Amino acid sequence: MEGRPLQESELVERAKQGDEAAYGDLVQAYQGIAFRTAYLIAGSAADAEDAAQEGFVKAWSALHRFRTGAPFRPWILQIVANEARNRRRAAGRRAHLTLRTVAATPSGEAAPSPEATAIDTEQREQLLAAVNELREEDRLVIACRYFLELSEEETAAALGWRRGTVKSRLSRALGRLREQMGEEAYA
Amino acid sequence: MPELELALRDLGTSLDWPAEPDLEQRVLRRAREAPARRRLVPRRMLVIALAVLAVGVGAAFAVPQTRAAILEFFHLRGVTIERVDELPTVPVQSGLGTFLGDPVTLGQARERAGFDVVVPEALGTPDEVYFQDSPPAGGMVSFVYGTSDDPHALFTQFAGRVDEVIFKKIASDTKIEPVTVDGQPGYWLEGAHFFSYLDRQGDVQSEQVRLAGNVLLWERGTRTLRLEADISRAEALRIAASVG
Repeated sequence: MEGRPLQESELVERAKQGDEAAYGDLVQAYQGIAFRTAYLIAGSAADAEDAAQEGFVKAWSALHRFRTGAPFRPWILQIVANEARNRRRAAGRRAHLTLRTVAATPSGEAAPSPEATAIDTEQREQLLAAVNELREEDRLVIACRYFLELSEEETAAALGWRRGTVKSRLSRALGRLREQMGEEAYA
Repeated sequence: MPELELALRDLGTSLDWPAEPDLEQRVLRRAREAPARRRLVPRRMLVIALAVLAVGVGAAFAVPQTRAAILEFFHLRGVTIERVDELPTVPVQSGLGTFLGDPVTLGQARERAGFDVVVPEALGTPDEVYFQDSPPAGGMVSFVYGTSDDPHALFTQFAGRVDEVIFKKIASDTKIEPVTVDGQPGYWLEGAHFFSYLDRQGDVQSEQVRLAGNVLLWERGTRTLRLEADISRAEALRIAASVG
């Protein structure tokens, strides 16, 4: 039987009524972004996986409190990010995550000229090295907004900051990044 | 969009993330087990303490007659802790939500509270936020970490005033130690406890808090803060120091 895909709000409503399949669809839809957000915060893939799983389980038992019509993504990201912070704290470490770029050329695309690729790759590596050198707060806000493409609201939920704080810290972080890259690089 | 932002977005597409786990089946299996795993009774009930929220000291003294001898007093702004030799028993409640007030967002709590709402950075964003209208004046904001059915920390704040007092009764064997948080006085109490308060109609209600935790009560400016969790004193003080 073919039907149109269910809207998020319908899935949430069904899950609230105890529909496990509907909740399974929500898990499928958001486990990727939840896992990556947790990975940024917890600093380890094993802790991130654990935090994402625990977050989805907790969200299921708290679903009756979820406000009908509200977006599900910031809510689940907030719960999972909280779990990730708990794990990082329990492990007694500061998140010291170093992101890497993919070495291989993207598949399914016409390969660019070797020169172009080399320049691109070099620029990316330089930028990433500069991001990795930023202090944690700066790196987190840049990673949430640009690497995970979270909205301001989602970033605020994930990092446990106010929206205004996200704005101000992001602009400060970009300023520091510009300094690191050298004034002329990204004026 | 400026060039740097574009370059960051482009960089984001070429990052080497660890493989995304498939959580659906594991989550659903755990979800099915969840209701049965929920604790119905707090783990530790060795020590019982009672907190009474009352308007005015006179009213506070009129609240549940334990007929127990008052052995000691400890004072903070808006809170008096008294050590008594006997405590009343109250029925077990199923969740925290009933006495914490209305579920709200953090933003709504900030709008409604008659004081600047603070957040303990070390705990991150609360999973649930509640607001209760006065009493006490200015309302009371509570943050639940975990869910109200299975909380692992409860952080409460209100504008403590000298003419409005929360009474907390502790048993004679409850451990209570004076502490200092950021130069301001507080008390560390070890043991699970009962809680009673004055509701919006001014009636005394008693509930058992489901957290089998210890309590840190401390002052911050004109606010009185309370953290309850099953954690050590050192950990509680570390969380208290992160309030900003």
